[in-house]
Amino acid sequence: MKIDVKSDVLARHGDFLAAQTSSGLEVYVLPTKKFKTKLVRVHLRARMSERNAARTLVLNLLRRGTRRLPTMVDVSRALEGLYGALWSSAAYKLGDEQILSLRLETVEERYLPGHPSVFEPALSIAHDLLFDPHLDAGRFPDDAFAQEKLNHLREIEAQYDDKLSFAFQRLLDEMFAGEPYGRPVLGTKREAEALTAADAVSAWSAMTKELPARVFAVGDMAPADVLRFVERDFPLAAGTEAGPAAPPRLQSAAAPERVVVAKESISQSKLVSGRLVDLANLSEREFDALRIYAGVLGGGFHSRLFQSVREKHSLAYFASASLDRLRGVLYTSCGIDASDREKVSELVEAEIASLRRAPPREDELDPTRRLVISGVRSTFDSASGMVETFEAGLAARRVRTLDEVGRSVAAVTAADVQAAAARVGPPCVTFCLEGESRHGGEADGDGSA
Amino acid sequence: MKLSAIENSIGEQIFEGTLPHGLRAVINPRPEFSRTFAVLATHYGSLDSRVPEAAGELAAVPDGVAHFLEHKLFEDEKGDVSLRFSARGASCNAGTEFTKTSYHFSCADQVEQNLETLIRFVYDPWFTEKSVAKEQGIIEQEIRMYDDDPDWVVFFNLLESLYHRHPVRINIAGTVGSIRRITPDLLYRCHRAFYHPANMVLAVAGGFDRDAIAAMAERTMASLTFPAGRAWERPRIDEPASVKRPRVEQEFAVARPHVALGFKEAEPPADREAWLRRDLTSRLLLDVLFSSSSRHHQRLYESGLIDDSFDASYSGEDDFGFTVLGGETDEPDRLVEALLAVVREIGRAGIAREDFELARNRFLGRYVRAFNSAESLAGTLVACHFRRIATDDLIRTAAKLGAADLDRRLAEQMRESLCAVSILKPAKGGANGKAAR
Repeated sequence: MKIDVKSDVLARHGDFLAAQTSSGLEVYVLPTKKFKTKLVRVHLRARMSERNAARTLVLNLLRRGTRRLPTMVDVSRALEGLYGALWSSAAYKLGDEQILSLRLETVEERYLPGHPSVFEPALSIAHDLLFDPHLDAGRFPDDAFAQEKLNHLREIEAQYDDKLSFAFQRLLDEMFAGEPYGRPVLGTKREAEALTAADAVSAWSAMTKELPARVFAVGDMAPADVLRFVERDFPLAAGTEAGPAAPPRLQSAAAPERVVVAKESISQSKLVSGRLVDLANLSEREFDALRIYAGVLGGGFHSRLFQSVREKHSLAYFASASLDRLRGVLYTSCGIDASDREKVSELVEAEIASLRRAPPREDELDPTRRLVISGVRSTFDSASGMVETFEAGLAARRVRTLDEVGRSVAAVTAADVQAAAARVGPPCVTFCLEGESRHGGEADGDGSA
Repeated sequence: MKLSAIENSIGEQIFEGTLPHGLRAVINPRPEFSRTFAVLATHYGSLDSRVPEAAGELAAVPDGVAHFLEHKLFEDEKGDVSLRFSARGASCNAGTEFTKTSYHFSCADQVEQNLETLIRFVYDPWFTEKSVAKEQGIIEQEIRMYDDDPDWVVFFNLLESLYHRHPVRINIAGTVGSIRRITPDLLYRCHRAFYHPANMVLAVAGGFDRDAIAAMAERTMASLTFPAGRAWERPRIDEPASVKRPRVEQEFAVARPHVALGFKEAEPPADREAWLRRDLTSRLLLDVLFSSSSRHHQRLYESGLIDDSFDASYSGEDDFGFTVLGGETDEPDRLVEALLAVVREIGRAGIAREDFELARNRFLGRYVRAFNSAESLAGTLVACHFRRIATDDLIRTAAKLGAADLDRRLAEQMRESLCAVSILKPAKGGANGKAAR
């Protein structure tokens, strides 16, 4: 199929060139010879819902084979034969959207012996994996379905093994119960257990026909060529909205702080907290001031939390803060001894209050601005980093070049940061995954196991 | 510093040279990159459980001292060194491994000033009773964090089972008890013994000016003074060939059992070339046996014995080497038996040439991909320096291998008489159980 691509369909959008296929599918291309690989990422966007579990299950089912390469081994061997072309998928959260990300990365042919063709054959496999999976009478084969369903359940259960992520999910459960934003991105155990073969097929069908998609390409590729292969290999749905708008903000926002403590048999307790941040009428400068605020509070060695909780008081191995500027939540997290929970909570609160009372010092502000700018520039050096930073800009409806972001961040003043601090509300929920206190007890003498 | 080019099949500009006091430097200017990654590493890690004394004999040190030293170098009389990097928008960090300790920064500008700070702080130890006591509290929290990490615990339980006395069995950070025995004097002794420039390498990759960086490194190193020194020759450990114990189990706060099956190398490699062949053939072998393109992997996956958490890896140095297979599973014993059955079956049937070629293709792709990131390339350059091999030796050696080399490696490395199993079982409530051995 020959498709005419007119150069006037390309528009500069941030650091990427933006275009649409004839069906309106959004395509973003960053042509560069900087990397030794070509990266194509297909992102399907869904509002977080009880269908999160079905969609992530489908991502795993789509690895199980295609009509032409009916087993996982067939697929792996075909990709390995292309000098280890990488095909992977992941589901992650962006605001209250679940992003289903499918990624293909191939090595630049000019670096391989004999310059074999690897990109085009890999694209064809990627197409089949998404659109022409191995089906049995229109359904994923029973054994593959049962296996992947079980693995999906296990993956959900295994989240318990990473105690910090587990603590964060428990915090979200408490703070955003009933909101799309609070849902676990893999779905809940109950949702995963209830999935049927028909649910999987219908989720796959929605993914390929209904969910709005975006395709990103980074590497030595001409935009016109990218548009051609997207038209040919990824005929997905166009659209800008991932689903019905989020329900109004949670009613409990004004409720008093809740402190939830769950006992676990662990050595280091995890103390995490969440506070709502008012995002109303943010100018570009205010948007960036929030980022600097989070950096001054808990973004690195120089930050208030690290210096206070870890360096001054030796009460934690890590102490940090992060800010979700899509939903408006400030998170803090510390790894502590159980007996120090109240002390550490007070120190965290004291630093947050102090940034509200007075602007940050120049020796805090300047390194934070530099670190943020440096972090922004570092995304230039990673193909996936470029995609994710750009995608975050699309989600926030603030697409800017990284240079523009850098300039705006550099202009943030101490007064801007203090104004940003005023947008941060009181703690909604503090969650502690609490192990046994060991202070004052006998030290382990022989090995940590 | 006179720089000479290192030939490589990717056509990257990589240069090496020697700085004052014998510090080797390897640099890869990438004008198209925004950031620079620099690492100053010493060939000293958790394996070095003894420190040379003035009279030449070796004295035992508490477990975790290399890691403790790594933490403490970040503080000097003027305070926290990391803040000097932060002030320039640079991020810095460090890591201690079995055989090396690395200090690194990445930054988008003021590369030369950051490089000067890196060199100066690593060579300028400052320890006091008070600062050491403070660090003990911080590292205690770090150790506890690792104590809660099932992958870490199942792995070190395995190493404790494979090895009788080789220090590879020692937890890198030590224990809450051992780090309390660390003193400023001990840290100074270890720094003097292991942080001589002749025992170290500087690797810089990314968007910097080659000549300016070389000049700054030269100037900074020339301003420092060192007694005469040389690269540390790690004494070989007299480790029995047998495994210490075939099995270890522990109750743990996990959702499902974690299992690691380990095979211990019977003999150390004869020389560098033998080490490189051994390392490459082991990796290719594990790819053939257990990557997702292997029919054995598929069978285990479809039977539900393994899932995406399954991993197979090989680590080897001058006087130790081991393969680890494992992941999460509901039936640890059945999985161990099934993995051993795969090893037996392939041992009998041999490796198919087609499978070998696929694994080698994938290896070549991975080699090219490593040049994508300044950080990963700098890491490769450091590793190659300490192993005294050139970057391209990896692919040159791979090109010479055949399926029969993998057959030999399997027979040599994956012997049932030299394997041990480590299992974490979900705790039935209460605190983490102690290892039941």
